[in-house]
Amino acid sequence: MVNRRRNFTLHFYLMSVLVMVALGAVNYLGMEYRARLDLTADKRFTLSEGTERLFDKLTEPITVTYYVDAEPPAKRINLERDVRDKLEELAVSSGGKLEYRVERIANEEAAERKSELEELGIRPTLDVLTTGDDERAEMRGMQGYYSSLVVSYGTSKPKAVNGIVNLVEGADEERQHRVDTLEFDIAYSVLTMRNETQRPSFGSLLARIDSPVQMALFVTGEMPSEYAQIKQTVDDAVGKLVNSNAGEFDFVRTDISARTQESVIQPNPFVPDGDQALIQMNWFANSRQAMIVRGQAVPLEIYTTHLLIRVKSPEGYRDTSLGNFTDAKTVNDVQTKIQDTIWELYRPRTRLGFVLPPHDPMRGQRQPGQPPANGHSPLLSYIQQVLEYETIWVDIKGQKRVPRDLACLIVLEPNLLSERELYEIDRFLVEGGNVVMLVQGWSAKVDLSMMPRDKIRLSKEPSEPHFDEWLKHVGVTVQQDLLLRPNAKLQGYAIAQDQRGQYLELVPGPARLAPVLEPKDLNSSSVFTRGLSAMPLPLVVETSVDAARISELGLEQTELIRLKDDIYKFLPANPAIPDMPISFDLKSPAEVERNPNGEPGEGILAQRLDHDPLVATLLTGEFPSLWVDEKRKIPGWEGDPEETDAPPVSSKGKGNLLVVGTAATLNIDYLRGYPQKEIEPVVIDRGLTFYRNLSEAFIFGEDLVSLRARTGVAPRIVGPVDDQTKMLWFLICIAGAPAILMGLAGMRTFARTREREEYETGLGIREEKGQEKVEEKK
Amino acid sequence: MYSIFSRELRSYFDGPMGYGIIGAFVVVIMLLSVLLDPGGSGGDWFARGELSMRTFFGIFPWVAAVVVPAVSMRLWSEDRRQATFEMLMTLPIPTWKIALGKYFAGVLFLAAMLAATVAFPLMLFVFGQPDWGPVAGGYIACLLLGAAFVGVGLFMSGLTENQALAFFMAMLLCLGIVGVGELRGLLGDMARDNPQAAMIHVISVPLVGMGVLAAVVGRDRMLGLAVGLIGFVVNAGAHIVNSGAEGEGAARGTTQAGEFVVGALAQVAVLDHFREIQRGVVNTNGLVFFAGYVVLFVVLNVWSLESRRYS
Repeated sequence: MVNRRRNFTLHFYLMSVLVMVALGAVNYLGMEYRARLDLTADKRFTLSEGTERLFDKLTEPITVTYYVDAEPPAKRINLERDVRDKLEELAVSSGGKLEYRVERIANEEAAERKSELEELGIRPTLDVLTTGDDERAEMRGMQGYYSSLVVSYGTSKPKAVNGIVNLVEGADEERQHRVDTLEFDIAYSVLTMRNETQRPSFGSLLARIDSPVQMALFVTGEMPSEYAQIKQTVDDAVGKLVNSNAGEFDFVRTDISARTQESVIQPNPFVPDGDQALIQMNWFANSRQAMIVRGQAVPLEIYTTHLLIRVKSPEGYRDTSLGNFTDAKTVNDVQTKIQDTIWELYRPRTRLGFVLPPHDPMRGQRQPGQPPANGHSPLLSYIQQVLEYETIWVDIKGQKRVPRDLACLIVLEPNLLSERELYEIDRFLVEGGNVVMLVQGWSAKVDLSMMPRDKIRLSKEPSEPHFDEWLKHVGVTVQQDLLLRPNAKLQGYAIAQDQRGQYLELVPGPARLAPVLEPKDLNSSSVFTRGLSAMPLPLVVETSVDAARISELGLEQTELIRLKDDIYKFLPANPAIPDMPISFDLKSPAEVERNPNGEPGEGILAQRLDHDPLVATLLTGEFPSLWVDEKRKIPGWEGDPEETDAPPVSSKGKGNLLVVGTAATLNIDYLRGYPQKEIEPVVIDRGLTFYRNLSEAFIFGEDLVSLRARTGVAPRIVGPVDDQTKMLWFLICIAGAPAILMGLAGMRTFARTREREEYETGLGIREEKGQEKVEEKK
Repeated sequence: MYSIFSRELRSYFDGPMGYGIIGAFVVVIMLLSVLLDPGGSGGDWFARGELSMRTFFGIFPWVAAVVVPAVSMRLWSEDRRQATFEMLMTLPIPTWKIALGKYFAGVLFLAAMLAATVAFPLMLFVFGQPDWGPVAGGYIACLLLGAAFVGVGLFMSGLTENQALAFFMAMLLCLGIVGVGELRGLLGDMARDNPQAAMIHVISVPLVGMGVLAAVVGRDRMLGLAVGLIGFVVNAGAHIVNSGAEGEGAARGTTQAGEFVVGALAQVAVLDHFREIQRGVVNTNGLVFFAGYVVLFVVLNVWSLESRRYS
């Protein structure tokens, strides 16, 4: 028996091992050849086609590190879980292309690690305070909490995505980085890293540059010892660099006097007429005594170590000056600084072209060769500084054409263009260019000195007939009605005056002139509208599309912004002078007709629309040319009335035309109407996001546009729920099924008892009740 | 097999016990997920406003680890108690068919338990438009995990005629299975720091388990003790290696071996598979995994019953 038992046991072991191995093998096969079915409505755990295509092209794995507070605020208690879920699914569905890890930051180390994390580009997330957050911030020694991704790919500098939130309340849907946008955020980061021009070695870089790099070093002869050391280091570094790359540099060294008057301004030695291209030196000084040079207070004696670098890039010469070497302690540091600068000057840039509206005479005399000055002009420098794109003013009249190397041509107020300018833009678009037309239907005078006391002076912007005709040719119409919405932000000013008529006080008026975009207005699957929630659209009009015409042309149309719910059109009392009373706020029934089909009576200033107006639309495809298709003559340039036939066009691919019903998004004339605290964080930030989206969508093309911008938000409870209803459902959930089960159990017990009684009666153990009664009577 | 299945199923609903278990399960899980909401919304499911059953599915593994053994504890023990076990074993039906009949009855009862929670999805429907994918995925995940636990309960029930003991042992094992998933993070860290030690842990722990099985199932205490001892010594060795590495201040870094161990741990952790399906992603990997658990415990059950023939 013992042997039989032992044999069985050994057999059991053997079989156990075999079963385990078999199960392991089946599991392994299941893991290797896995098929998956994503049951979610928006397929949120399945990579979008664009992401898959991008991942397929990648040659190296993506590494994602999620930095999160170990103890987040109460409101974000599930944040880590939600992000992990998403990352896990992305990792699985990426087929090994994406790896992730989570780094939890404990409360006690949060402040300590702050600078280390900042170096990675990680910033704490600021959120609406919830109960207990103040004490939490005090304990941690910092406000906010960490919830950031760092995406690494290849040798590119890792990119940080800050402020990732999960959807806890409705307001979270306005945040740019959310759990449901992680796929986009990661794919977008990788896309930008992949597209970043890889910096070559310094030797290869010099070889690529067509002409020798020009360097001019301006140094003061005699210097106090603390500056002399810097001078020596820079001298050595430049000398070493020039000598070790013979023939690649054109180097000039100029000793200058410490006397300010002689040295503070120097001619550029590399420009033919260098005296006209003066360089102001950077300087150190010990003396407090100053003299005025070109309106600037400069010490009497200055010490300079100033390096001018001039590089020929593919777009022409670019130069910059290095004047502060205090942070470069060694020869190597200085050399690195110079090499970085040369690369920065040479690297190819994305160019955005802007066509600006005419010069505003209120801004003084226009300088020859300079862009027209108007409310839109600062936009170019905003974009260049913040988004780091090269922005150029496209002077179509001057250049007689639109440069073809632009990633995107942004035309502000195209309704004012001459026909010839419009023809040039049409040509650019037809040849496969990307054009954004920001049409300004209305304008408002918010200049205090121009405003009447109780009204905002509005005016309908003129539109050239050829522009309307051209838009119609591609299937778009810009409507006339000015759109208003109760949540608008652009505010006119009521002005309090003293007895002498001087302006004393500026009070924001309530006029609803700039509808603020809400998540529901935006095409949530489009990269063009990403992160635009809360952006105001000053003085917006409706654009409509002719679906039949678009279909006839074979174009593809994508709606980008459609204002939803409660939108009104402005009905001026006097169409010739369409001023809006400053007190008008869309609330008074005497001034607002809420019935879209009603007949607006006297005194009615706005009527509700019977539809949701489209204000931004994108057309893609091979565009027809109004001049070629309809054999229209091309008008001559201003002063040259000769008309010519339009040459045939050979399309170089699909073009994109984006039409928006306002151009005033970042018009500084209207920014003055906003409360100061909103200008930077809301208006400019969101406005720049708009331009970034446009530019990047056109730069990266299909790669970016096909990425899923968003995968939808978690469904939420619709409307408020009263306490009674809550209680009712608590009871149904908790006690509903048990109550039914108790009923069933009772019925079953009753039936069993009956069955038993019948059975016992059948056996004669128990007599039937009726029978008992009959016998009793007997 | 069908007659065994229907007999077992009927026995659940003949008395008040089946109804009681379902009722208790519903009350407990609903109280935890609707009223208490461990998700951190301060005791109000409505406060979160999210139309999802994540909290419900999140706590299901822990509740199921307690409730499912209560369902399955009687599958064999009751036959032993009523002395019908010997009759069953002498029937001209293979043991595996009897075991499967009982197993499927347990699984169907589990399905009835889950069906009794229908008020929750109904509430979601009343208050908005939930995404039904994750809800369906959650129920599938619960059914699969519950089915694996029924397998565990069936196995434990076959080992003893004492229902309370069967329940207790099954509950401990189920809680252990869920807990390993939670411990995975710790083991994963160890695997990254010291893959060798983690690998030894991963191999030696099942050795100890097999020793216990040999003693209990195979009824061979000597062999069980020997295997268990080997497992224990190896495990202790791994601890020493691991603590030594920590003492040297081993640099934390990812190694291929470490990643392999982490991957292996991910593969055996029940909760990972459960959560993946619960999110609304049903994949062959998870299905195969749960099916493997079921096969393993049903096979162990059959062998443990067969071993009685030799005792």
